[in-house]
Amino acid sequence: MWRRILTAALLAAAIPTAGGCARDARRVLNEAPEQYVIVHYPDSRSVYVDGREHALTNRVILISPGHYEFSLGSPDDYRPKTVVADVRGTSRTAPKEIVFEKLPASN
Amino acid sequence: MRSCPRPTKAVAAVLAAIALGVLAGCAAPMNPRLDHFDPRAGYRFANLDAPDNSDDLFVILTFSGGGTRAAALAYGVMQKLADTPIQIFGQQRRLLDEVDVISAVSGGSFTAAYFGLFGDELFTRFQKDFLRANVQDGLVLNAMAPWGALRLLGPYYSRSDLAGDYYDRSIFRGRTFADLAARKRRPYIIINSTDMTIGAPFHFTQDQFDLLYSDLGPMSVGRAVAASSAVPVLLAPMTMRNYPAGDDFREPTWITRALDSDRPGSNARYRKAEQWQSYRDKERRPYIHLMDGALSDNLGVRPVLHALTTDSSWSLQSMVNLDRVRCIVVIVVNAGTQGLSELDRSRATPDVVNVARATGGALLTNTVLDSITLLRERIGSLQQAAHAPMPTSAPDSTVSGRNFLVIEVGFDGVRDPKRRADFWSIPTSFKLKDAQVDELIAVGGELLNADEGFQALVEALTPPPTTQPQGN
Repeated sequence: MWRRILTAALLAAAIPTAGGCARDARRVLNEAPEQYVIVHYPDSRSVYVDGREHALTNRVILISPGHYEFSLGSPDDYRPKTVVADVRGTSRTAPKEIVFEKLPASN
Repeated sequence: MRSCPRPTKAVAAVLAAIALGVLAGCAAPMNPRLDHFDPRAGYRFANLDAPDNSDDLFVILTFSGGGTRAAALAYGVMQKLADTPIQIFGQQRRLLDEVDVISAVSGGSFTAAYFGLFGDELFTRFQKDFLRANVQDGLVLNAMAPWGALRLLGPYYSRSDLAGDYYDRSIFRGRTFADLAARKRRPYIIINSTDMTIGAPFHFTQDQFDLLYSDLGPMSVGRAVAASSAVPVLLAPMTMRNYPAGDDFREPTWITRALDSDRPGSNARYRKAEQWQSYRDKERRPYIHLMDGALSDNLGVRPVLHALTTDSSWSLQSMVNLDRVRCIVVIVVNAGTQGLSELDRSRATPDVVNVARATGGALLTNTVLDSITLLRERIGSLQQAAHAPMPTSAPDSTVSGRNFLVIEVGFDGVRDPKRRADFWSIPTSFKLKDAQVDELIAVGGELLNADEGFQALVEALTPPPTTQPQGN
């Protein structure tokens, strides 16, 4: 009897866990994993995505589908300060375009 | 005959208090709270240097579960990498020196953690310390010893805690994650377990422990390995404290953004964000219970899948965008077994031990296949994206001429059916015969060497033969 109870408990714990893993795998498979973005700025500059350095300006870059906050590396001479964009349905030949403008140098 | 005097209530109370005190003192050490939140401190990929390691070639190893069978197979692969000379930027190195990340589960985590802590001592001491040691009997003897048995009576010390303490003493020499971080060098070792409530992978990295507002540094590596190999039923889950976050805590931005803006249930990003944010619920989840990493990821590939996204703290996508890597090689070491079980000959209900073995074996086979398929798809997708044609508007390409490769080392690759069946019949255990260990080490190197992708990689990285000037 105790063996059956333990077996049931074990399966109840383990099988949904393994099943969840497989479901995750199928979800990911249904989505194009690579999207494309180009961040325009007059200079070559680091592009930060959600606060992490992810790429460089003026190049077609890879990104996973989703919402992100884009900003540039220092110096702080550009506007807007951040751009939030939903990146989906792009292609390498038609990337999402994000534009930062260079501020005039202050004296 | 005089009868023994009955203990008074006061004496009984004192004895009970002493017993409670002893049991309380027997509680396993909890993961400590962070003094303050610092997203740049602790055991993280970004804090590990790679002085002798070229980012141009980025090598990731993943080690599956499977007890000593998995540890020995992984060891064979490591030995082959150590014996493979390559040349990068005119410098001769071993392919092993180019390994940047090892993500491991359960049995495989012993090999990964040992190499992370002790480097090349893996090749001089690990066989004696673990592969050829009777760890299984060691665990049983520790549980039966008076002190071990007493500690197990308490509610706050489990069989996995006992296993962790034993691994610390007998294998990992009491080393902690602070020791691992102090080495300041790659490979980045990711030991994976499973959060049993949400069924998600739980990694022993500071990125993960930030969510618990806990400091991974003082945690012993042996306890992490014990959590990673806490086979259901045979070993109990290991418990971590999930502390209330300090005011200085900042959740990774991508989590909030994914939950605010992405579609529920529509993608893995949302699901992972949901899982990670569950640690914010300190009232409902003040404790996190960890089980065998194999239950959520028997190959250890899920951290690699996450690294192929934008959100990972060691995003391969970022490295590609920033022109930091040209070749990504993922070597998946899979000690999984197949074949029909003798259990099916009998009508009798399988016992607990056999159920536990099945849970770590056949029942996970489909998820293993899903994981491998997914990894190949994602690597293929990144490769394809890297070679896609340039739009005319872009002045420069970041992604061209790169090679990304997945190599799988598993018993499926053994050509001789009898030999293959012999490997499949090796049980998931911490006690193997020396001959079995020898065979597993040998086949790990053989299988890697026989892989066409590996051969092409080695050929591309082999130093050209020096031509002797011909005398007249």
